[in-house]
Amino acid sequence: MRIIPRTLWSAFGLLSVVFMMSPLVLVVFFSFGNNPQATLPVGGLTVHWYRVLLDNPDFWHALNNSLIVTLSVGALSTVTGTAAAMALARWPMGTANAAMTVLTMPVMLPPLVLALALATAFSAAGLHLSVLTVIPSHLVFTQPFVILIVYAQMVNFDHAVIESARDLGASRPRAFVTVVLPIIRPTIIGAALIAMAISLDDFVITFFTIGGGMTLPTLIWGMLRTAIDPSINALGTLIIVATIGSSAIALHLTRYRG
Amino acid sequence: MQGALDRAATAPDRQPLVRLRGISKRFGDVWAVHPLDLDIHEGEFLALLGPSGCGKTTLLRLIGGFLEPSSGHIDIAGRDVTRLGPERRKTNMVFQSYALFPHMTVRQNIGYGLRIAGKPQPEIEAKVNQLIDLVHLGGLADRLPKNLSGGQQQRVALARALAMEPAVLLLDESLAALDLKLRKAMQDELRALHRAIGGTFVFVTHDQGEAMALANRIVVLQDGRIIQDGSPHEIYTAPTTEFVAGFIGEANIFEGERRAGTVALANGTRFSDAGRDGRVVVVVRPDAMALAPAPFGGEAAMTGRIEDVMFLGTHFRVAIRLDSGESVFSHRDAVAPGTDLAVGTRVHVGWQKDGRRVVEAA
Amino acid sequence: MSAIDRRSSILFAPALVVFAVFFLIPVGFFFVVSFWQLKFYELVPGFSFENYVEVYREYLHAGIFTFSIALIIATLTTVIGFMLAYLIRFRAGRYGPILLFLVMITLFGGYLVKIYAWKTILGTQGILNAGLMALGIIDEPIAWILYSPHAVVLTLVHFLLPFAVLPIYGALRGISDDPLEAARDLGARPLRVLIDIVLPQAMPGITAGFALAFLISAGDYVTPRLVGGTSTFMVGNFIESQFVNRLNAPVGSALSFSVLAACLVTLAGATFLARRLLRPR
Repeated sequence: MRIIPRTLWSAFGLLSVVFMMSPLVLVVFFSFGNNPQATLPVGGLTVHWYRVLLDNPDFWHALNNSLIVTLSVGALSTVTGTAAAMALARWPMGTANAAMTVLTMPVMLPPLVLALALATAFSAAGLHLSVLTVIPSHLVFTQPFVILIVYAQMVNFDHAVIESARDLGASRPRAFVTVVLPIIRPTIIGAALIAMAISLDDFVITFFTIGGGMTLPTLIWGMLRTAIDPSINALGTLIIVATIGSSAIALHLTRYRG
Repeated sequence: MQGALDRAATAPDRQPLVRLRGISKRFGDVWAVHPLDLDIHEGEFLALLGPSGCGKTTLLRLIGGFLEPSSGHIDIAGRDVTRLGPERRKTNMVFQSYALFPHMTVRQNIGYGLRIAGKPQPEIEAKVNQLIDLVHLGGLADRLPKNLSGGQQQRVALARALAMEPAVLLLDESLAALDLKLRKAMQDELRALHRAIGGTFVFVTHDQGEAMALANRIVVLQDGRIIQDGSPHEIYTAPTTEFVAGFIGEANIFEGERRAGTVALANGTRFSDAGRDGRVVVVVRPDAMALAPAPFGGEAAMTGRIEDVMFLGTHFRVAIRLDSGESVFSHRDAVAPGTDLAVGTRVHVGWQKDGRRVVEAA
Repeated sequence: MSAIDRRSSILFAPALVVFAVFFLIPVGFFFVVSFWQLKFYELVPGFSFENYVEVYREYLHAGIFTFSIALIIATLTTVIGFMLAYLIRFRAGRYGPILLFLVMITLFGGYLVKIYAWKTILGTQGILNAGLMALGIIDEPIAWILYSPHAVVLTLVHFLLPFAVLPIYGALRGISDDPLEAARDLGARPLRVLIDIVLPQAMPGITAGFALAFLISAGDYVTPRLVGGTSTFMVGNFIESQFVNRLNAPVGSALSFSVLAACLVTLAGATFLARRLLRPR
């Protein structure tokens, strides 16, 4: 658009970045501020709220659950997702796209509907709600991302190296482990990190499938519903760091270009 | 294009259609094109020829308006277009990658420019059909580019540009992606097209054979400068620099020195040639490099042994190792009848005065 | 389909099983429940459309309200998202990858955290008001931003922007530069190039971005609850309320699927319209 001069584009770009990042930056900023109300003036810099947070037994309970869920979901969805991506890579493009669209459906559904459906089904099946019901619930909407990421790489994979390995005497499993896996390892790790970031951040589905327990997001929700607890900024900062951190690493590993 | 034909027939050949004056293009510290002048006349089929990086594509894009010149100005049909973008110039380009609109059919691609110009629908349809016939795309009109072969896509790109009846048609190495047979066929079609519509074509190529086959005027570029400008025959027989001699056609090149009107080559050959003192290069085309079983009266008298004989369909290519050490090539046409063309045969090698050219060394 | 051999079926199976057991069956069951009845806090299987009738009677108004807001959010998100994606792809040069990276990481910054962040920013003692008062633009804090539909729109647009940029940028990346130059060569001004050449090829990405933004907005209840105040009750809130407060799964389910159906119809219509408008002549 040469109608829009360069300076306007730069301004727009800058504003967009500021818009997208400032809420997060502010949360981090206020977590270190003396003012219990997240506003100016900030007072001084302090780590007081972090100490308050760490003294909160609920925090450790939630952190524990979050870790269990996130790591399990990361591992499991990576396995199911990578396997499925391998399968898709062998299929003709039309079939693969159709299969992918189907498996991505859980992501397109409003989370609330999925959460309620799962809760109803679990209750009807007589299952007790706990982290064990949360994990598979997360699987359903994290595995599409793993599939997408790994499949994208498999499509560009030079299959000739597998043929070459077999030509040199490697059996199919051996070729896979010694040739394919090392090449796609960064992508798989990246996909795992993305799955973990998504799982870590989930609130709605966790809320309805965890029963009495807590994860970090549901803890935030609890803190929001009860009192104005300033340590919520500290908790928010931790979540931001964890999710953005793992996704930044993932982006680097998968060399994502869009 | 009828108007162009009429104009070409009646108008005096004086005012060039395209005038470049002092045109240059700089990218940072690098001069892709040093300030140059160029006139392009109506009806010419002009080739911009040179190795990679010589500035020929840059020059073409400057004419088309895709780049703004760092200096100088451009006139097209008497109008100063220096500051105008491609959408306002009466030029149209056939891109190297064809650049077809992937979401439009052949028909829609060809008619796009006319639609932008607001021509009435029946007129667009008629013109598009005419062009489809002209480039032999009948039956493919409603296909999408992805369902066309490379050669077919190229013709769509050509038709699309011609639809606009440009004053100058620009072709950016458009035949580069085609296989040999298709290239030859397209070259013939382009020449026929040029004769039929009488337009002005400017095309960029690094293939000197293509330039010689298609163009009636060749501009040779090197490192952003025009080295030589003339008809294919001129460029071939009378290259002005060692570079042009080596780039165009095959050449046997001998290094030597000229002193007081006499040229002396390393292998002992001497002949007279007027000109400045200094290092020179003697260029002899293979079809002028004569071979004979016995000495013949030529300007040079060298001897050697046949190293290799290649049969190339229309002629033999003979490689000779001269006693003085150089390797030279000859064509069958220059071989005297009765010469034994077996490998190892000793032959006498030389040329006539009008078969060689002396060029000042670089 | 001969390409689906035994080995690839085995590989595909685990993901499929997860999908079937934890998505298809629960959602299917949930759908069936929408035809059941709630009598004295007990689920009674049966087959009746009564729940859907109740949905239509009681929630049509809320539905329309929700859809309007969702449409506004989706439109804003898609337009701004397109401009951002266009900037990254065509105009940002060296800064494109950096910009893309920044957009991508904000995708993951935490859903609740972002909503909470806006709550504090927009409040009467929040930083927005503090800033405006410090600059002297206003004398009293603006109370009507927080706890209003405006806050919901702002918060959701902020949250959904990266989700829209992604598919749109993906589509734009697939557009080669040469045809754009060719269009200019044939006489098209920059706006025409955009409409005739860029947009039609970007359509799949734009539709995906719009659909995602629309679906998420239509079903959201957390954002209206936290920043929407009492004046913004969206369908998501009602679904949640039916389920959690009244323990009425059937009606909650009926409402859910009604919303879903309405969303799909709206999106199908919008896609059709867009394709119609951008069809090359």
